[in-house]
Amino acid sequence: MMKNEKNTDELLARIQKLETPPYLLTRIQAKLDNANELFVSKPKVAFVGALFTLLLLINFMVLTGNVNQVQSDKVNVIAEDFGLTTTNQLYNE
Amino acid sequence: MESQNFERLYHEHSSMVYNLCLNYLRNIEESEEATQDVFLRVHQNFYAFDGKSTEKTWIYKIAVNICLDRIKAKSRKKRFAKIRSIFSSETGDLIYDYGTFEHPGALLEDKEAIAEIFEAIELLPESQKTAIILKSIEGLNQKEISEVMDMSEKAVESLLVRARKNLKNKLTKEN
Repeated sequence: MMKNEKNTDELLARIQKLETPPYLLTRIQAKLDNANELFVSKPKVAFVGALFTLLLLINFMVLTGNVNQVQSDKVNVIAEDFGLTTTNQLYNE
Repeated sequence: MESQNFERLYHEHSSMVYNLCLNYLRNIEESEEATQDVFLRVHQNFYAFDGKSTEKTWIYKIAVNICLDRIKAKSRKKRFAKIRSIFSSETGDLIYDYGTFEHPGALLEDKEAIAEIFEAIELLPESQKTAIILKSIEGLNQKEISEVMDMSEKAVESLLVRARKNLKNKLTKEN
């Protein structure tokens, strides 16, 4: 190794290690506590997501059921207006 | 991550991380912030630590990445910074001295020489800077450096040779 390089390495090796300031751990723990308050676990997110999907599905089923019922009612009204029977009976008794 | 385990990691490695950050960032306040960032990331990612490397080299890797990210972010900010005088308009005195870095860990008789060396290290390419800091200041061996830098020991060796050559050239030019 060249003398200059040796000197450089020697000088750098003589740098004394400093102690970490004592308040740093407190600051880190405060940041971690803050992060935990905002944190929502994955199972909770999945549960809420599933619940929401179920709600949407039920809503969809109710809506489509109502629409079919409304259409059926409309057909009956028109049939009655024209005196048409909605049953299989050929004679009105 | 368990609180006890985290505190153990902190007490074992905080000084190492803090000093590494100081060598990279050359500023005490920034080094304190970077050290916090390192341990927050350690806490978040400890579940992913697979034990293939030692805890020491794993934490070193996180610290190196955070320091390099901070340096890159600073260079990006500089590009968009307004130009202003470093001298006071009233008294003409120097307000901002961004020149030499007086390492707080340097011995009194070495301060000037160390400041010059750090100026030269600052000008090295990223990988050479990392190799020199880890080898010459942090005292890691080549195997540890190769784990931190994700390269083979031979690659680390050749990187150190180039880094030392560049450093010598820069220091010779200054003198």
